[in-house]
Amino acid sequence: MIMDELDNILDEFVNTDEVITQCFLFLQHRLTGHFFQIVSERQRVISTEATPDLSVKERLQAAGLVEGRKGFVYVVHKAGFVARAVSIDRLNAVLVLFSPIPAPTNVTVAYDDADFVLALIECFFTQRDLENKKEELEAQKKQFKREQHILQQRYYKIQDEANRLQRDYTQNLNDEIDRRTREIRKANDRLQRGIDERKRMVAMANKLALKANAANKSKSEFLSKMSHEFRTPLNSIIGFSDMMTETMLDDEQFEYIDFIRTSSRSLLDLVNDILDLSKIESGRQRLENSEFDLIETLGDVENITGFQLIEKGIKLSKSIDSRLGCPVIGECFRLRQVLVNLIGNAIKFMEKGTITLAVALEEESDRQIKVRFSVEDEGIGIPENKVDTIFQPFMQVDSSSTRKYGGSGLGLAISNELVKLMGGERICLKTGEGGSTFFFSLVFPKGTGSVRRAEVRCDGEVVENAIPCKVLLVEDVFQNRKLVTAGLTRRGYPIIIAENGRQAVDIVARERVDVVLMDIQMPVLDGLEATREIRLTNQDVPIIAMTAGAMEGDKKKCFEIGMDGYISKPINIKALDQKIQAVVRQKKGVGAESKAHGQGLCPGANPERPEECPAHPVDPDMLASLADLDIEQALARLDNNEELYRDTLFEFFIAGDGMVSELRDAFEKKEMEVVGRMAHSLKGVAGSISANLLSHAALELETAVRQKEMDRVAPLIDTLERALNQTLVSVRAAIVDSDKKELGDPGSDDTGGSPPVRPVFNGGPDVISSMFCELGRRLKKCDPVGSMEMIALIKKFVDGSALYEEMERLDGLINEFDFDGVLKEMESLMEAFRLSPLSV
Amino acid sequence: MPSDRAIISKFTRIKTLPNIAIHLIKLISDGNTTIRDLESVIRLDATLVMRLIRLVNSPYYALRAKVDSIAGAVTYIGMDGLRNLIVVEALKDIFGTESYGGVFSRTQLWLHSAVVAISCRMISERIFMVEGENAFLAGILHDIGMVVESQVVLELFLQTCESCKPDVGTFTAYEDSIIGTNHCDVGCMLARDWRLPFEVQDGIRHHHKAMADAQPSGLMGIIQMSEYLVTRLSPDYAAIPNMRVTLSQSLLAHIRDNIRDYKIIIRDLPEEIIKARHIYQYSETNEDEA
Repeated sequence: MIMDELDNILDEFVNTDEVITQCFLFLQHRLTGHFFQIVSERQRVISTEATPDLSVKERLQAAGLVEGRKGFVYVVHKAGFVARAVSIDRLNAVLVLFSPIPAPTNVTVAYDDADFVLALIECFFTQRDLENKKEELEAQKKQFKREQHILQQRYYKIQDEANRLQRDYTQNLNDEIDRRTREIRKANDRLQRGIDERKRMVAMANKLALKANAANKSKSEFLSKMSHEFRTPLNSIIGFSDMMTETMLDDEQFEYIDFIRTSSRSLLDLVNDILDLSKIESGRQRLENSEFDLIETLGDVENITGFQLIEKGIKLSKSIDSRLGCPVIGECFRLRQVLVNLIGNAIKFMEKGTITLAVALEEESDRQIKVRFSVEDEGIGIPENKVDTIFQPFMQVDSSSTRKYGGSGLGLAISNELVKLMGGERICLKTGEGGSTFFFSLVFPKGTGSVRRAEVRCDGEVVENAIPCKVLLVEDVFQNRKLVTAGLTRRGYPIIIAENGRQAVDIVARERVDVVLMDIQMPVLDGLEATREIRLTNQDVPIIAMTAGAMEGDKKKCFEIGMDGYISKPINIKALDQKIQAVVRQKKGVGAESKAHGQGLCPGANPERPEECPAHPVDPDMLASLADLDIEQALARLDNNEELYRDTLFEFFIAGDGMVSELRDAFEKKEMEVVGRMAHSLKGVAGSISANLLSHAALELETAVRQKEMDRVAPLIDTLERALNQTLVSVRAAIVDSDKKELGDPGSDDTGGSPPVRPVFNGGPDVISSMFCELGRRLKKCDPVGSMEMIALIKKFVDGSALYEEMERLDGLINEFDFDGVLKEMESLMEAFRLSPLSV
Repeated sequence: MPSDRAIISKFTRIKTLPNIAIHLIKLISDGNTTIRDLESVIRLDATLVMRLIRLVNSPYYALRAKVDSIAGAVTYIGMDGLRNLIVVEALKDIFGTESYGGVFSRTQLWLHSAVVAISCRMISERIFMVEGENAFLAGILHDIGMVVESQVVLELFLQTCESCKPDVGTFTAYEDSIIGTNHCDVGCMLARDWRLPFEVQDGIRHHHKAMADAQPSGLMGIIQMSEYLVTRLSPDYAAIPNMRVTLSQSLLAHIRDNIRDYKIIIRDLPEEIIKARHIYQYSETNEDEA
């Protein structure tokens, strides 16, 4: 739709009469002296003044004449005027112009005035259009202004909204900042309060500590001085009382004097204790370290407490780690004081039972050892709430104890301080209804071995002028190692262990060794090879061969390669001791080798000349006559050390299960050398427990292998297996028998006739400890199958006890190959079940 | 004969504004609503968000900067503008495109409504210097009653369209006699249900009444004048063929007095209609959504 059409849409709203009037006025103003009139479509007439009037008919005639024509058209003569008309199309109107006569008649052409009128009409419309345009522009302008106003309003609204958003946002932000500031301030306040409180407490604690230290120090100094002052008159009282008893006194007087002596001695003890404690507390107590022998010190402790023990009928059981042979540096007097104190304390609070003094090697390095001492009593126990106070001076479990049991109440305090002084942490206490255990650990630097041991042996036997020797034991079989170590340690020899020839060569090259006990058949490097290597650099160290040598040539070989002595297995400890002394003396040129007679396996065999021992005749009759477990014989060989034999027997029981199957495996794989070595080991082990039947069977097998009599090997393995099974049955019987005895089974406690197997087991914890040790060894070798076998074995022993479930758990851990986990668990179990750690 | 309420009930069971639109209209009518409140509701309807951003950036609003957030869109077109966009979007679905011979066409009715709405806004803002969003809303909804009638009582409604003779009586008189109600009353009731502003309801209700004292600046007057103008502009913009638009005398006088203004509006209207096509055209919507 074009613009004009759009403009005309609302034309009905335009008032045409008004426009006609405007047009008339416009013309009238400009046509002064002219007469004219405008006739609208609806015959509305507007005329100039004095203008002749046309009739209606004439007006219609005029309208008809002008329709469709441009310019003026004559209409009529009237009243001296010529009337001419022209159409004003845009107004739908007719303009009639009256001109005075004479005017040309029938003239249709315009006069000059007519043309002028036409021009004026045109002019009117032009002017009007311009005015319209102007008004329209005005209207347009107004509309723009209104729209602008609305836009402005909208803008303000947007601005308001944006401001509001910003305000909200800022407000939120501020709120958040305020909130967090408040939180931080609160936290700061809390922190500050905490700091202030802490500062205050630290200041107070410091103040108190200073005060307490000062008080304690002055108290200690006072006591220290006073104690000296006390001791002098006390000594006089005691001395003069003693002297007085030598004089003639009647019974009553003697009783009084005796009372004075006893009381003053008690008083002196107390003063001495106070003096000790105050010296320690005031820091004036110094240790005088020197090299000493731990075993000897323990013996001293036993001796010192012996009288009290006998007096009260209490037994002292000692469990001393076999590895604790070497001399150490420390103050033996104070250590002895602590142990005597602890044992004395235990005696004091016990009516009967056993006190166990256990000393175990906790850690060992090249330079020092850490030793754990514990004293376990079967006394009245200590209530939980008193545990913390008993180490404080003058504190006993209750004040009535002092009256009932005597003592100053200073013993534990002094002992504790002494342990600390000696570098230990403190004395710890485990207590329950069945008694208490006091324990502590101390670290001792290793001594050089220069200390001269008083040759008081555990069995009371005194060997005059024994030469102290550091022994290197080279032995691959655990049981043998343990047996020799335990035996020699008891006889006071410090022992170093090597598990094969290679280790032995290294040790000899590295450190001073006084004598080497060398097994011959060993993995990695055998005894002969090891000796050869040692002799390349060291001609001096005495080397004694230790072998269950079956063959005649063995001894010869030993001497040829540079060994100095020879002792046959099973080892007789006493003979071994004598052999060591003899060889060492000989080597050092001290004197003639003493003639010692070994208690060898073969009756009549001379330990000095073992090669003369008949090469174990394989005689079925003789085999039949042999007992499968000759305990008496074994004990004789082990210095009657039942404990050692028990351990050895048990180790055999643990290891024995799998022996033949391993041997059979090797045989099936045609590894004859392995079969020979295993038979050799088995022979030695069997010999060590005096399982003679088994020992002979093993010897026979070893011989057959060595002499390459292959057709005999398989039947001999069968024989060996039968012998082994029989031996195991005997060993098991011993265990069961001893268990029954422990449980008080009247059936087994017959006094008449000697039982076929003498029960030597205490059963219980020691057995389990051994098994744990074996388990530990297998775990360290990361041997899951062996470990699981061991656990299964332990489970048989502990079935029905709390330990059984723990073993199940260990089993699970092994299934997950968590060996370290099992080891840790095992250690804590041993701790929890009070199983003593044994050498592995 | 069904009452207007019965017709509305029946209609709202078939078609009504989507929930989100009703929720937004309610929020907008609450003076305390913030842009953030609206934003959180609009965000739920991804299509609406897309359409909103597109419309705000259309030539109709002629914004210089591109708006790319809901908050920005609402800020620029205002809450009422937003409400109108939501209503227009919903109405497109409600109107539909059905055609019944030469008697009645929903497409034509939609075009009529859109053009009247555009004109209403122009008159409101250009002549009366009043923010035109309510006028636009009243314009787009003034004949919604016909949609309802044609949905619920189609036969009667078509009969009305056919029977109506402008010389004899008004369309609403025919509706009253044949249907029992008229599209003005029905539309007003629907607007009330949708909680649209009262003046919008009122404008819809009276847009066919020839009242001597009709206020030109009221929504009723603006709708009447707009209908008059658009039908004068083109018969294609009539709601129903042969429907005569009558103006109250006061409105005629007003137009006469402000003829220059209305001429300008008539002159500018076609251009505005073209500019607003994004808002009312179906094809554009489909293209956009495709």
